Amino acid sequence: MAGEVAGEASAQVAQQKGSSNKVAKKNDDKGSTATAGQTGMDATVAKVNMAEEKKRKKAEKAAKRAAHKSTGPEPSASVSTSNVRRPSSTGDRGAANAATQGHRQNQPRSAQESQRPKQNVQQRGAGVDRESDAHKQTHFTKTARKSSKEIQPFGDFAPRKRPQVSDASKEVHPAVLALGFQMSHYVVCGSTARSIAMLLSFKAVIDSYTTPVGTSFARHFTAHHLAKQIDFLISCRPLSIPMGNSIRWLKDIVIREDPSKSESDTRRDLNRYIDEFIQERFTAASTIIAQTAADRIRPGAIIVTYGGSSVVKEALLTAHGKGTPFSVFCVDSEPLNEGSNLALALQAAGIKVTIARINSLTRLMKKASLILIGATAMTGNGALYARAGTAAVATIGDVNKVPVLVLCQTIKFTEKPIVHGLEMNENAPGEELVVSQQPPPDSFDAQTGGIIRVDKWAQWKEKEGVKVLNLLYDLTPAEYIKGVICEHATIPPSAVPAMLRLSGGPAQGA
Amino acid sequence: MSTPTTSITPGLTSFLKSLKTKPAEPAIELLISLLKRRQIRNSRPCAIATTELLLRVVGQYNGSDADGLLRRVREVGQRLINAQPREMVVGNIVRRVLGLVREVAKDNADDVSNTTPSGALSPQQEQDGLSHPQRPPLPSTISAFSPLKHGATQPVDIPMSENLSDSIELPSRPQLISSATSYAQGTMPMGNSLFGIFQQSDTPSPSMTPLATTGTITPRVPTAQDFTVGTNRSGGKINLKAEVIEGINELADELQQADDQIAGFAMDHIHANEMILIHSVSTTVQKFLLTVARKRKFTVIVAEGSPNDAEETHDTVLNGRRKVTDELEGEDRFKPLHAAGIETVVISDSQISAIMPRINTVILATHAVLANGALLAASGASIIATLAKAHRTPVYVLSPVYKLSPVYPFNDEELIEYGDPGNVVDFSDGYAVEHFEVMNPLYDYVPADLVTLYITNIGGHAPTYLYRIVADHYYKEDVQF
Repeated sequence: MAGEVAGEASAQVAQQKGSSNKVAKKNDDKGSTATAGQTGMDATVAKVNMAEEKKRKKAEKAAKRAAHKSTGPEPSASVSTSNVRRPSSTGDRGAANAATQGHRQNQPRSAQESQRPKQNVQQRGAGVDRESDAHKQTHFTKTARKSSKEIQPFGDFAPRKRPQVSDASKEVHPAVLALGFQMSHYVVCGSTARSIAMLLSFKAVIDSYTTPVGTSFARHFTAHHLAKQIDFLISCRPLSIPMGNSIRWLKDIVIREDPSKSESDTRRDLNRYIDEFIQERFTAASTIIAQTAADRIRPGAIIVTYGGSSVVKEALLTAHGKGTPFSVFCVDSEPLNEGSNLALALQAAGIKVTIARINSLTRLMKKASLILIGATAMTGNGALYARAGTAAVATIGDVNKVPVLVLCQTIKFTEKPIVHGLEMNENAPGEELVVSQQPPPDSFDAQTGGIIRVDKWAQWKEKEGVKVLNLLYDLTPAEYIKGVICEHATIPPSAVPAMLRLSGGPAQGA
Repeated sequence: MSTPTTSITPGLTSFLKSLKTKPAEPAIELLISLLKRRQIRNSRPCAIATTELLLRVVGQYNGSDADGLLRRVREVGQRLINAQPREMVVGNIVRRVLGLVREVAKDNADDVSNTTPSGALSPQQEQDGLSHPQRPPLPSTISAFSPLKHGATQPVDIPMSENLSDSIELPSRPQLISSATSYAQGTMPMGNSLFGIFQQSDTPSPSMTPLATTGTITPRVPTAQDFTVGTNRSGGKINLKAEVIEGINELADELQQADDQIAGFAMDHIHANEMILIHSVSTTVQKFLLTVARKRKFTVIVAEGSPNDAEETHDTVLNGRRKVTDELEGEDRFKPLHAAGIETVVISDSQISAIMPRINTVILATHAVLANGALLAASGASIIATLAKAHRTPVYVLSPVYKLSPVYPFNDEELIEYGDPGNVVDFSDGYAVEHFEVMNPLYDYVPADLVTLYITNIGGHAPTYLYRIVADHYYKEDVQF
């Protein structure tokens, strides 16, 4: 084991020097993992194993993402239907891995741990004598976290913490674990994709669940098992509103399951319900929305989109399929840059695409004829809750008299009114904003996945008065929205609560 | 984005160094190429470079008459502007220098025709009053009182005649104008007054800022005396050159001091515990905030200005702003805000809408300010201004007077410079580079109605009043030269 660690360390050094190809390194990594597996056969607790596995996978993913970034995007299938940030095979692979190989062996932990940038800083000093003492590591991590900076003026927005595998309860299903990390790293990103991926992972949870003796499925599953999965997902990223709505629906149908039904029947039925729910509330709904929206696109239109909404993508592709000639401005922003995926998909279909960042808004809005944006949620007071920057797009659009249409499934509607952009918002780790966008190739580090540069963020951390705020959402007031296209109708934003009532409330789907 | 400050890279520093040895013509060529290659960019470096170059040009001018000098400066200015039309500050400086020459020429003329100073005016007025000893008779037409009459915003193209006295047959400005200069209180050490050159030494020295002296140009009705009489006097030529050079030096001082002067107004506008939103980086804004930081605690939210300015913003937030002066080499920096005890929060431009409800004041820096009160600033600024307007948050724009351009923007698109698409789509991403159009404007046009207040080195002005300041600083003839 010690030899292994040393080998890993030297590999790491070599890598930092060489810096170029992460893929090769990753294979190397895998090889070493295998050997480690042979030597450390006396694997400890199952939980730790699983944790290691997750961690490794996550690192792999990050590396792949980086590699992907540098080599250029390659379109391919992803977790579910839609909106996965880096369209590589990482998504489904992660899930599959998670499901199948929860029993892989002990990975040299410290080497893995050191992939976390923050620790890396401090650990480099400690260097050689890294013990694979999981608890120590965890403890260390926690103290480091504590010192991480809270944003005083926005005190209620302590940055979201990076999830730790070791923090997860042992009941957390591997598929949920994988999804949690994918979400926290934006591999699965966008509210539709996250909701669908969550439901799919819950299917896996249901499949592998057996009711403990003395309880019934309906009682035990939701209260004890599902709750743990959800808690873990929340620790990775706060739930979005459609996720919350979906969970409420799921709990509802589980409770209503006939207790006399056999457990396998229950599982089968629930899985079927979930599939139907996804189909009805997400997939089919988005198809209907896309068709409605496509009719709104006039020939020669210049469409502005913001972020990487899956529904907007579908709408634009539908319009293009109908033969309407139009062009698209794909606007996005640091740090997520979700527009690039959308742009690729549209470009591949033959639509003329211009890529721009949010700083170009005022310039391009003078040419625009329609703004199509996706939503994370439509609130009870008709406001649009969506990716940070959407409000700016809508406001500038309003100033330039460009109509704003929101494409949004009713599963994303909520009765909760939100009046302030800071309400309910999510503060992502600041390093994602200030560090990830400037990876100069010379300091490329495959250990950190190539994206996060250790020293860079350390510099930010040591300055007392400097903080980084990385809010993911903002709120667009109803006055800037001309219409909301949902699967039932095109409505004014003020009609959101009414529509919610008509469609039977969010909790009663399928 | 930053001006390279090492002498190896061509930039402002190397240019200023080479200026000491080079004759005028190669220096002009050098600056033109630097401007074209964007190796000198942004308002302040451009202004400094232009000022120093014109100093050289005037110094090496061999003619004896003001007309010739005007023509020479105009010709040089034309070439510089053609090299980089979007750096409007170059044109501003050239116009200021042209104004100086006219001023000196006229003072010379006055001096010859000359008279006794009138004495019963307040210091500022006296300053002006002395230089026009005889209050010019008001022109017969009442329209001369109309600000528009003097408004440089009108693209009036008055052809320059060879004879200077013909070209300056303007209606006189009412004395009122000079009081605009009294905004400048004696915050700065007194520069050598241009007017003072022609005054008796026993004149009470009013505390005029260099700006007021060089900046406010008050055309007067020419006396019957032809200018050539003045230059034909013995020593007239030497006077002309020497005085113009002196004036340009004062202009250079103004460039140096403008930020401090603007910072002098800071305490009036930022109060304790406020949340201030600023956009990307600016030395002017930084000095402004640092001035207040000595007395008050507040929070600064910095929108990073990605993709073009993000890196520089981060650098500035962490380590302070690089000084752009001639002698420094790199490590000379202003204090970063956090070192002065200001809490600094960096956000991306996309979060502006989310945090705007919490912002008390928005402070913007400018690239250029236009005669209609609009401004050009780093791209993203108009998003901030628009959202601030939507939230009724006051927007202050800090702009030294030298950034004030008499250009009227008939089409704002032509003022916008587009930057490196590589900042938006990574060049390593071959597919994207090949298949996408990329839009990356460097500047934003911010309409006047989004601005609450302009703070220049002579005070605070409503955007609707800017045309007046413009008219005070440039001769109408020089607006389009």
